[in-house]
Amino acid sequence: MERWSHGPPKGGHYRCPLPVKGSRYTKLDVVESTGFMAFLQTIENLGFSQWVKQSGSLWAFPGILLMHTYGMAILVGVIAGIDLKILGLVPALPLAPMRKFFPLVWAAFWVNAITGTMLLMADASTKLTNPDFGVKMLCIVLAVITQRLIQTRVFGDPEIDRRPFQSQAKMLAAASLVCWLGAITAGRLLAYVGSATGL
Amino acid sequence: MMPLWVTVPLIVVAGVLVTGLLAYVIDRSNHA
Amino acid sequence: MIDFLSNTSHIHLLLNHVPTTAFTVALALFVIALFTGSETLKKTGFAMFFVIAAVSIATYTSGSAAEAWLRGAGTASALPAHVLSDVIREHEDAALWATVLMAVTGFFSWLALWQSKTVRKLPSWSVPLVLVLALLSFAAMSRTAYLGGHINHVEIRPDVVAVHKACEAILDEATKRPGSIPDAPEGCPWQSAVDEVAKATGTPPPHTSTARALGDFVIGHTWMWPTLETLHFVGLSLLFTTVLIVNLRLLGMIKVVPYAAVYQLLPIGMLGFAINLVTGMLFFVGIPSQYNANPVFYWKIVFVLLAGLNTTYFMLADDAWRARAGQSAPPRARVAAASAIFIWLAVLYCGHMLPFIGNAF
Repeated sequence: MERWSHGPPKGGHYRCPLPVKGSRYTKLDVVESTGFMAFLQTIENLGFSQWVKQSGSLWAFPGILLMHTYGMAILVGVIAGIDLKILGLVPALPLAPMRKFFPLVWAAFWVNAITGTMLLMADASTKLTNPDFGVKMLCIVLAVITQRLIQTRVFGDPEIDRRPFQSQAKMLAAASLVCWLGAITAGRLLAYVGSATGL
Repeated sequence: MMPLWVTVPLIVVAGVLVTGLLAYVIDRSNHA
Repeated sequence: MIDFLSNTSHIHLLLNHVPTTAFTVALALFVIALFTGSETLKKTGFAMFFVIAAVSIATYTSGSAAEAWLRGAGTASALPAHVLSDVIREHEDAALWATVLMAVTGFFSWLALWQSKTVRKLPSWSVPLVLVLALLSFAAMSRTAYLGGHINHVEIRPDVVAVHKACEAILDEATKRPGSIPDAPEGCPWQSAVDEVAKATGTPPPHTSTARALGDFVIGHTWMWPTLETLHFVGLSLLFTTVLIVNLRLLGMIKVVPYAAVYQLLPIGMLGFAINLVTGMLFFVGIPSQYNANPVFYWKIVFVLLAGLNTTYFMLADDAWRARAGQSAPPRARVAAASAIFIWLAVLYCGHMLPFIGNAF
């Protein structure tokens, strides 16, 4: 059983459960392809998107998703270490030197942003009408904001490692973990919930 | 029958909390 | 050689010597260590238990693959006439419990070794706890091995032996007093004894193993699979926390931090691995066929075993501890660190590629 998508239904008719910006959709109306949906379909029909979805090459969907997985492992792996440290789990490890990992973290983030975009392009009409995808994006936005705050407020504290972490730092660390957990869960659920199963 | 997007996150959170508890217990036992 | 290695029955028959024979040696060593009080011998015992526990994972999965090989790929079962399904289920049942017990033994053995490096001696709870767990595991493994022997060796199956003995008694009587028993058999072939036992147990529902029941639970609820997958990702994130930070430190990043400090991250990694072992085993008992027939899965197990060896090195060797604050790690530790990152990236690769290479599921 191939788990790859079979594209949008013929004729471009959708049952969309949520109002989508730029379209004439309302709750549970069956609608014609509008400007927005037609745009998404154009993206999906691009040569590149078709190659990702249909080519069957290991470098296409599997390879891109592999890079996405590697990116996730590095990104969440390092960040989880930093967050758990702030939450008090590894007392002997100083936090300040961990800033050397930031370039790696952001590199992994951009790998995922790029591979994520590629994956999204191949499945635009299904993903962007899937509320779960919105949840994932929201979690990531919040996680990135939290990460920036940690980098400036926690790592920027001149008293870092010299006194116990303040509750603001611990809340940021906890929030970061929750956001990334949310992103992972929502991401995994993409294969199972929402409209016609896509990629 | 709860929808998938409720059941899965619920159980995942439960699993993570259990894991967190285990991690906390192991951590405490190292600095007892 | 390749043919031999690709025969999964062979692999299972090879590997099942580890939780039995090697385990016997390890247990004997450990008991001797208790009498002599030798810390080194105790640590050796712990390390052996850990490695044996790791290999036992492969033993279990290869057992499932061996059954698949024996049953054949077609819809009609290709099981040889003397092999009874029930017996395989009983063996599988025992094997699952034994593997779980062994994994717990391995985990606490690892924890003991991990703690011994920071407090300079083995923690007091470790020896009694691991001894009890090891003895329980050994009993479970022995029972598993005994039941495993029943699969092919009809001559040790109690029910078959009973029928055979009854036949031999009649034969004996008929030979001693010829003509005394009408329709006396001319011989007592083992296959007839097996057939008679099979007939007797045929009608009641076949013995269901715990593995089957667990597997049915996993695939019987639609929320199970995505939940297990998500937890598998959580586990791998925790694992990579440790794998990346510890090994990148040994390779020269954040040199200001001593190895002793990043060493505290190891239990987090082990916790991540434990989550993935549990979720992984649940995937495996859920749909064994998509793993049994998938060469990429074998490679994943191979790399996990290599990771186990890598971990054992770090548990026993003192090389990495020479990386104090500001100091580089010695070459051997750096090789081990680079290998660790490579191995776990390979595990991740294999796990990800499971649906794309091998058989698509």
